[in-house]
Amino acid sequence: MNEIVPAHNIGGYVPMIDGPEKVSGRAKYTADILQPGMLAGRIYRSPYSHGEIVEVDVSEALKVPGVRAIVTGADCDKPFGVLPIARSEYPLARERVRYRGEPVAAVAAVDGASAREALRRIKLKVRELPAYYTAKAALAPGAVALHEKKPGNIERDMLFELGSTEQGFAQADLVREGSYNCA
Amino acid sequence: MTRLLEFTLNGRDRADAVADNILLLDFLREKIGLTGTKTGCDGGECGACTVLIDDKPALSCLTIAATIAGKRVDTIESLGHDGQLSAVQRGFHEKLGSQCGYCTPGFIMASAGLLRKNPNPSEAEILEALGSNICRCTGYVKIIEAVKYAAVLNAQGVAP
Repeated sequence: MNEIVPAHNIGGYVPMIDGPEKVSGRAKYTADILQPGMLAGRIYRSPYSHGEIVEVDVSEALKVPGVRAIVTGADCDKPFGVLPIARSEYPLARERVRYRGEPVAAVAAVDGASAREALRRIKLKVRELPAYYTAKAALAPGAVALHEKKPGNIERDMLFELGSTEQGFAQADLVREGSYNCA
Repeated sequence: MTRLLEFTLNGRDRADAVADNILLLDFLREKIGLTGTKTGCDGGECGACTVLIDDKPALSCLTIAATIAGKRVDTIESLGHDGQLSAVQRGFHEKLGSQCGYCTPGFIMASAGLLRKNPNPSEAEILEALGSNICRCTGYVKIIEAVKYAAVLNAQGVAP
């Protein structure tokens, strides 16, 4: 019988094919592509942690010389998300803002300075809602639901039981129990 | 206002007309075309825009270009010679200290600044020197290994 020779080197060094480009600064990222006549984009982000959007007024911002276009959540009615569970997400906030820093409007202008000036003139009116800064506060009875389809502010409840847990615990040399939180 | 700015970039003297309010980061990327220096947070929090000014790491997004008159600025493009990577670049490549790579030039310049000042840094000194840089891929263990390996290569004669 032939001896089986490993075809792969598990745990071995596999250099990244684009490593030299990345460590030399030659790798081109989207932001590194500079073309003549390119517009500059800037994003207006929510200063509120949680609120119902009453109005996004961009009329004054549009008057800034050099501003070519401004889009808001009203222009973005297609949800996206790289995972199926994230498909309730919109590129720009619609109806509600759910975290401080959530993108609300995007400006395209002839240069960064004009775009930034336009951001200063965007007026966001919200009806503020209670904001929760810990999982415990978000789970408390009576907490306002962040997403209509997620009652109790629970994104997913996952329970795995693989094999015989009871037997595993009984045979274990050490059993360590605890509660763990992750962002 | 615009002024004439004379300084040394990556070992070469140059003179440029620059606006008084342009940031060194935007000057390097948009006017000179050296896009190896990255725009990350654009506010001094992430370290992606780190360059060396007179051998000391500095955040180019918080530096007005006009303030570098008469100084030496080194960017990631200055490292490596004749197609050979520098010690720090080899460290990051060979120890897999670079994943998506966007933070890499900033980490490499901060590390190069460290090795120029202190060729044999302790782990604590490496952590201190890289304290201003953020890697969103969170590959910090590999980054620390990369800098340690760069110090070894440097001791063998490879320029940092």
